[in-house]
Amino acid sequence: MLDLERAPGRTVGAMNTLTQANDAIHPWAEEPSSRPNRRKIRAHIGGLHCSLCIGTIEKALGRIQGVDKVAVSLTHEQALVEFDPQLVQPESLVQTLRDIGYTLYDPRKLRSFEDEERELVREGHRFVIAVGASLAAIALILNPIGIWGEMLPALVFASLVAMVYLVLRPSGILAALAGAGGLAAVAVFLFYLRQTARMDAATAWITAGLAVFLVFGVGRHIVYMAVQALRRGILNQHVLLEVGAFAGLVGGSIGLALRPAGYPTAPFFAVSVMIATYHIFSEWLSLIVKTRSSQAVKRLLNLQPDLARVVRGDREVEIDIGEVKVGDLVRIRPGERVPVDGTVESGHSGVDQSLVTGEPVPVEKREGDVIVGGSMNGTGTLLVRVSAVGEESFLQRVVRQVEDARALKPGILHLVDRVLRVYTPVVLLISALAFAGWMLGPYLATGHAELGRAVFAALSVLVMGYPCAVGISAPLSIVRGAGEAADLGILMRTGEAFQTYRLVNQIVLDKTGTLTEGKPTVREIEALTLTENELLALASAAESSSEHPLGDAIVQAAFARHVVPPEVQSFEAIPGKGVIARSEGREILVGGPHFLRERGIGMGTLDARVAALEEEGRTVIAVAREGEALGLIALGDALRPDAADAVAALRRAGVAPILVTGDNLRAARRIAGRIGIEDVHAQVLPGAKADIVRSLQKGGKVAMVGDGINDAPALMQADVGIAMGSGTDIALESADIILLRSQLTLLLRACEISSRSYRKMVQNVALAFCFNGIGIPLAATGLIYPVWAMVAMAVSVTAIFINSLWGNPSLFINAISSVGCVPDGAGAGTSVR
Amino acid sequence: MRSVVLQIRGMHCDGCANSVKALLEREPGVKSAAVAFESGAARVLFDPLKIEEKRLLEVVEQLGYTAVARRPA
Repeated sequence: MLDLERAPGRTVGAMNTLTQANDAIHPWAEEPSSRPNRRKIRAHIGGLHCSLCIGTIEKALGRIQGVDKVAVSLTHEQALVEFDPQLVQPESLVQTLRDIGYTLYDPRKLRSFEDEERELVREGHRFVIAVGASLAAIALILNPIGIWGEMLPALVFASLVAMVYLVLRPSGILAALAGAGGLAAVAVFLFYLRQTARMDAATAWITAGLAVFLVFGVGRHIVYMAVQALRRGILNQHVLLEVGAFAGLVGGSIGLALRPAGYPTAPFFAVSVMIATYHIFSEWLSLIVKTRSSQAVKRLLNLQPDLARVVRGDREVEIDIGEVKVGDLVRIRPGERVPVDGTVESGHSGVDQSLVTGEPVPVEKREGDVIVGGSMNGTGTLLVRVSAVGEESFLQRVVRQVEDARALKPGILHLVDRVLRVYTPVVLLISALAFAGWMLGPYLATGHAELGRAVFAALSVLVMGYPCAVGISAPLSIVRGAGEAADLGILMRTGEAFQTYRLVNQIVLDKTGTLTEGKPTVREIEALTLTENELLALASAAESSSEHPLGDAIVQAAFARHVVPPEVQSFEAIPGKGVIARSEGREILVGGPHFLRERGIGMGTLDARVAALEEEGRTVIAVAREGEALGLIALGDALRPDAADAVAALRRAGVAPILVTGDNLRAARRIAGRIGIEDVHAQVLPGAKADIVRSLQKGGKVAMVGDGINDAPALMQADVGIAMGSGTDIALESADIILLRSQLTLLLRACEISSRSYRKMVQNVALAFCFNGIGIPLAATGLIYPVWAMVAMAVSVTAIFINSLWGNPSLFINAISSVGCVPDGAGAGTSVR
Repeated sequence: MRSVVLQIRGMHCDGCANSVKALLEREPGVKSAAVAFESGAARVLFDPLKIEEKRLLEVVEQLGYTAVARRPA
């Protein structure tokens, strides 16, 4: 893994280069504060288990005197804190986080695909062990009486065995068959033992052993997370699970200790085993979903480290971008990305700044001109004197703005967590009420409290209270939605993509490269005496040897029309003006209209045409031969063919389009007019795009579509950031959704998929809670046995599987069986946490 | 500037055509290349002072295809 050591030196790709300063002793990074007398730190937090953690951290830190602002991002696991250094020190802030059970990790640690894969495999094996315990537990408590008594356990049994097969399938068909068959055989053997020999007492003890093994052995990390959550005052899924599991353990232990007649000792333990198994499964499924989506993005990124070719003495050496110093001379070859900020020392070339400033037409750079890192060099070679490095450079400033926007991005409380916030306390309350009811009721009526029944009812409620299926409800609907999106060439990356996109009522569209193709092409040809093709041939002959920014567009247009440029004998470029070439013994001039006029060539009737084309926003090139103007070639950035349709469709869907660009107002207005956008913000600086998004967010949810470096902070700030797949690394990394095909109509399709997936998610959550919801009041009566909790579990899990994957089960099977296989071409890549 | 059409044999799909195009365009002196998988024809615009036609054929053959040059019609 060579890239591992070098990756931190990347500029655009890696978001974590900021922290490369010597802050190794502190687990946080300093940020420039927005106000005087304040300090701002950014900390990477580990141990965030659910979206409820955001509120907890914000509350815990916000309570401390001297802390002004706290922003936490769940997706990116980090917090941004602004505070008064007079009143509080970062050490105590970090200690507060540690006290409530979070860890702080070094953001520079990189994880490889192999590591992530190994973790998935490990969690998969954990699940297999849990399933083994569950199968044994079912066999131990199975009481096959009546059609339901046989059908349900058989169904659960078969589905669990099938799961084991699926999980083990990547390690080979034999291993899978042996694993699934072996576990099934053990369970059947236990069942057989119970049927023939008398092992009633042993049954309870074995089930107890299985429960303890699963809850404290295989699932001890869940106990740990639940304890942490309780310390933070959060009642999340883990807490709810452990409440149920411990209720099962306590219920079973009472049975072991007191041996009441007809008491379901073994079933209590078995329920603990089952719910822990389902929880482990849902955790694993979430991990698969999370890992796969981040890997999909990483595969799009150019993970090559950024190098600069620095002139040292009379040699040129390639060094890491981090080692370049102010004042160094950097050579930039044709077609390369400019790695540094600086001024041109010598050479000239057309430089494409569209990803930096949003101007589509390349700008000619000569001695003394300022050049910005991230732009693309054209056909000339430049020698650049570096003027800013590290924190001060343009790229790093953008990275910092992205980081800020990341923490300021409106957090969303995930659907499940939102329900749990109400549900968990209610379950605990009902359990307490059931206990109190059975104690008080009989006491008032007969003078004797029914302690046994009260305990039984309270525990049954808790056992019934854990909605097993809730953990898989969100990941399964995401598996479905992301699969459908992928078929269309849409990469849905984060929870925001699914939960928030449907609520968006404003969409901010970048102009250059998003609504338009992002590069100039020949749009009109105006030939006076020659044919259009002859004019194009002459112009491309002259331009083909020049470094003129628009020369390549002309040559490409000629090539596309099968026009072969004539041979050029001599050639002279006049930087910033045009080209003089000799071909077939005649002098050809190609350049701006001014260039021809300066040389005393009359434009005649062409003058009016030049004005009209320039009014339309075209860049006009004039061609003359032997002192006679022959015609004009107009170049411009073409609108994407589906831009107008896409904007109209968005408007129909109730989303207001807004155009934001770094280009000038005239160009912006013209494009906006053609596709029907009234709201236009032009000449926007890179950082200001995020500010515009932030102010729009006061009026509702905002989506942002862009591709450039200058769009990245706004993509991160927006409720939903959407990047074009051809965009820059930093834009892709900042986005929630990536359109792999540059089709704007996909914007609406992505929105439809997002709403559909969200509907599925709501249905799933409803299904998950519904069966337990029916069960809880019944359990409160103290009349139903814990085995019914298992029935509710099996039915709701099956219902959710059917609801999520109906018609397309392969999505799920593929997701499971991909674990452990490092995808093609990913081996060399590294991941950045 | 000169344009030439290369007849290429052995391309299996658009992917092959794309890599031939990319490799040709990476050569200094090649201004543009268009490769069609169906007909097996590659049209290349190049500067004969910077690159020889022979070199274009070599580039294609490096990839394991066979190529012959024919003048554009």
